[in-house]
Amino acid sequence: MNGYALFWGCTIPARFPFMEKSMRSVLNILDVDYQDLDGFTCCPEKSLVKNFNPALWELTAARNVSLAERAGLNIITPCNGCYGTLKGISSRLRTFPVEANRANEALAPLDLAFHGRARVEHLIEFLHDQLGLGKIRAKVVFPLRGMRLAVHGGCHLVRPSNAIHFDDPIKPAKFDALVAALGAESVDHSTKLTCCGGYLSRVGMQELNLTMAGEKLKELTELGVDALTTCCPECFKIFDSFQPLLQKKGAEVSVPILTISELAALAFGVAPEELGLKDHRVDVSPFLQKFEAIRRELTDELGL
Amino acid sequence: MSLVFDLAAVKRCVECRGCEYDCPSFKVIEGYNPTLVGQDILAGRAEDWLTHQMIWQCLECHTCTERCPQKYSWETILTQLKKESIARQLAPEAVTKAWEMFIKTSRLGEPRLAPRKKYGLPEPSASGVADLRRLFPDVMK
Repeated sequence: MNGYALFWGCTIPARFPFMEKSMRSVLNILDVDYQDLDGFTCCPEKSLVKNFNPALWELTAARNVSLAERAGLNIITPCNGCYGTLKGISSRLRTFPVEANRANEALAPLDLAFHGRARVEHLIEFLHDQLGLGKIRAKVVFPLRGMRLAVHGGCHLVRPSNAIHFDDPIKPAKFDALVAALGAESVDHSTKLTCCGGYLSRVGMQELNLTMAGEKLKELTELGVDALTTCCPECFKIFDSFQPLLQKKGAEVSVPILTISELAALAFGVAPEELGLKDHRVDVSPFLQKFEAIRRELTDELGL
Repeated sequence: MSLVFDLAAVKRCVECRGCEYDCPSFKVIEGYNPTLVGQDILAGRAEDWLTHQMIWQCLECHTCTERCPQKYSWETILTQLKKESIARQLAPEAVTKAWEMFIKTSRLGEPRLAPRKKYGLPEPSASGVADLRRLFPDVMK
């Protein structure tokens, strides 16, 4: 199976439609064969639904993967939560046939079955492992040279590693390699592996979430990075939407947040105004001013 | 339901604490210390924690699980307590509300249509909520 179904999850369509815009632009430029598929539900969110009803979590996830499989498609998702659930269930059902048989008995009336043929890939996994860095580099028109970026892969991009099977769970490197392929520097920092803390807000503890996110944003402000890049709408929400709340409380934090798709789209030559960057809560203009200087320099240099 | 733990694993967990300084919550949240939970489980006082906010401060980030030499971890203990808390209807309101939204709509947020037009995005795909109602008629509303 070569084509892909895009699994957006709940948060992107509900809160950040501009993330769809940049990811679709990037996939179009990379000539990826993708489509939207009817019938997906919430992945469903593991830390919520699995704790209420593990059987419902497992079967709902298996159903989502089976929908793609029935259409002859693999799945790409730009959400760590969806990735954790869908890849987690795929790994589990591919490993334990008894569970797969049980799921298939339940799915049969819906004319669905899980055979483990559909791959589930996070956007980062797709770009790095399926497409490869060479094809990314080949599409770069404006390399992000001189840009110092902090990479935040987030927890469920790599953990639990016994189900995700993608990158080192403690020292991941593939997202950094993508950033480097776009021409930017991935700046090491002590809070690199720190969780965004989004779960805390989801259980009603937003103040603690702000404290946790603030630790990272303070460090990155001190390091003077040009931006923090994320690959998950939950992490984006915490670092972008919540950053003004921290600023209101007097925290000295100022870090533009950009998704990997937005960075790639800019490097591939998509005009910034097409990407909806103005809908970010944190002003990205300091980043864009530096990027404009790169664009001007390269345009002059190459006579574009 | 009742709370049953692998007490030998809990004992090793309490004695190890090898994941402590990799745990994001341990580093940032004052008073967060799942070793105290483990000690109480060993002392037969697990139920005391079902209403304690500390069990909900575990992010399920799986860092401790990756670090755990016995692949047991703080997360396993706290998730077990969360599940029991949910079963006894003691979970935080935000958790219950999110669950209610899921069983009603099969999603945790509805697509916003106006911005889709602004960005020239296609109509959102159809939801599969009817299938979930068929699979789980007693749970999904």
